[in-house]
Amino acid sequence: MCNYDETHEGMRGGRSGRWRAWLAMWILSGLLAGCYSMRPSAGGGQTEFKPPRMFDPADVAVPPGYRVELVATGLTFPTGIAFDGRGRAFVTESGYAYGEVWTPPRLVRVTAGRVETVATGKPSGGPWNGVAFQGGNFYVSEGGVLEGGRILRISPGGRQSVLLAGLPSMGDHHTNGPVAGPDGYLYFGQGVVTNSGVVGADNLDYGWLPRWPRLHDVPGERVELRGENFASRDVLRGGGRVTTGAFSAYGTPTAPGQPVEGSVVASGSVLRLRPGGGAPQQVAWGFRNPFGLAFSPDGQLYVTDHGYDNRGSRPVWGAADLLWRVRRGEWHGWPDFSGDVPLTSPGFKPPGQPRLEFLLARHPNQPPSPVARLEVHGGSCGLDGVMTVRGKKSRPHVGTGAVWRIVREEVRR
Amino acid sequence: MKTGAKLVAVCAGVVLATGCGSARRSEPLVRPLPVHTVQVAAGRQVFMQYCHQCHPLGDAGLGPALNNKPLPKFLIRFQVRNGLGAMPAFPAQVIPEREMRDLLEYLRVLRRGR
Repeated sequence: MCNYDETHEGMRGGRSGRWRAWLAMWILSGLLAGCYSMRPSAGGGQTEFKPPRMFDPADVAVPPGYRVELVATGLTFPTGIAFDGRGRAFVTESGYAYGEVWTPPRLVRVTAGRVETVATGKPSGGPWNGVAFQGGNFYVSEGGVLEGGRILRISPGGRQSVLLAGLPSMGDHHTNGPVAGPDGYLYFGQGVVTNSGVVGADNLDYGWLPRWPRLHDVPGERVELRGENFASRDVLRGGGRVTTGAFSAYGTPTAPGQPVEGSVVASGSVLRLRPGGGAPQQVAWGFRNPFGLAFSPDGQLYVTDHGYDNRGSRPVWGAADLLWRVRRGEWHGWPDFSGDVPLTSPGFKPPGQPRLEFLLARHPNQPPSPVARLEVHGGSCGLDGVMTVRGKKSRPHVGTGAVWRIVREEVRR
Repeated sequence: MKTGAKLVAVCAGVVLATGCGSARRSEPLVRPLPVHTVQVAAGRQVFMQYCHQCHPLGDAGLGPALNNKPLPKFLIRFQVRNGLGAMPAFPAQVIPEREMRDLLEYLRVLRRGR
């Protein structure tokens, strides 16, 4: 005999079980779908790569009116491109990537999909960060992370000569550019040694701290410090703590009012040099890593500048890459501003850490406003669409670099 | 089904719908966002100055994507004014009220993509 109460109790139990199952599925689906953006990121887009690399123009998104063409493949970490007087493309291969891998840097000619070597640098010379063509010769910024930066002249036949050497490129950032200016000078960028002015344990990760334990940033003019010091574990001795101040060697504290002499060849500067060589001239300073340089038709210099990272003894959160219209003779804010916004602003405070303080007691000038604030950790490099791999954990994938051409279809029609 | 469980199911469904919506609806994947009014153009300026670096064109970057989040304007305003987690607050001294209204209108157009 059917017991109404027991039957319905069983039915309710069955329905309840199904609902619990549906609910669990919905919650699990929602978590899986919605949490992808909550995973922590070291900054920028990150993905895994398993060779072989596939090249498909359809993978590259461009605005309407443009199309992408694959020009050449088989390159290893290409960083810069220039065209000679006959309109032929020449590309620099860096020869160095963060994570510390060295391959011979090269200048190659790209013609009808073929890659031919014009010049090869010494294996310790990388990174070669860019190339310009002027007066029948090529000019290359040799980043020189092992031995210091240099500006090289390379003839069309591949003969190399050194125009300038000894640039302070042995730290986090190196010698960049160059670009030929309308005044006949070569303009290039010099990146800073540290993230935000203080040598710390993060510089061990970049590889250079044991090689150059006394290396530090140098300002573009005489400055006075506030005496801010930062404690970190002593990564050189493997134990204990050290205290380090701004513009000072690792383990060297500073005092309030302490002066630091400046240099023409400053950390975070834009410099210029005559193609025939000679002493470099400082155009402006206060950049962090002025990587891409280009002149507008009206002769104005623009620079892409990599923003601060969230690392080291003085981490900075949420700092944009910047596009600058360079103001000659002026300081552009590093290490106390991001663009024209002081680092003491609450938005730059990393989560769970105290607000940042200024390193300089007085600022040379109010930094100018940047033309644009680009994506945080975007790796904004060339102003002409040069592609590069960003991030300190990149590896040069041998033979997997490529040159793309973006064609503006309106012009072609 | 008990009310509480139904509510959880509805919330989970909203989360699922949010997670399934693509945030990648900005240039160059789609055509340029039409800017038909002065207010939207002004809002875009505010966005580029304060928001773009962490939420590039409304897509995910250092911060999560914006243009696939079905949030009403008053909630967006609250979060912008008060911050949330790692996101800093932008008080009226930084983004005046008029610019805030422009920004909210731009975000509405950005989300719709038209």
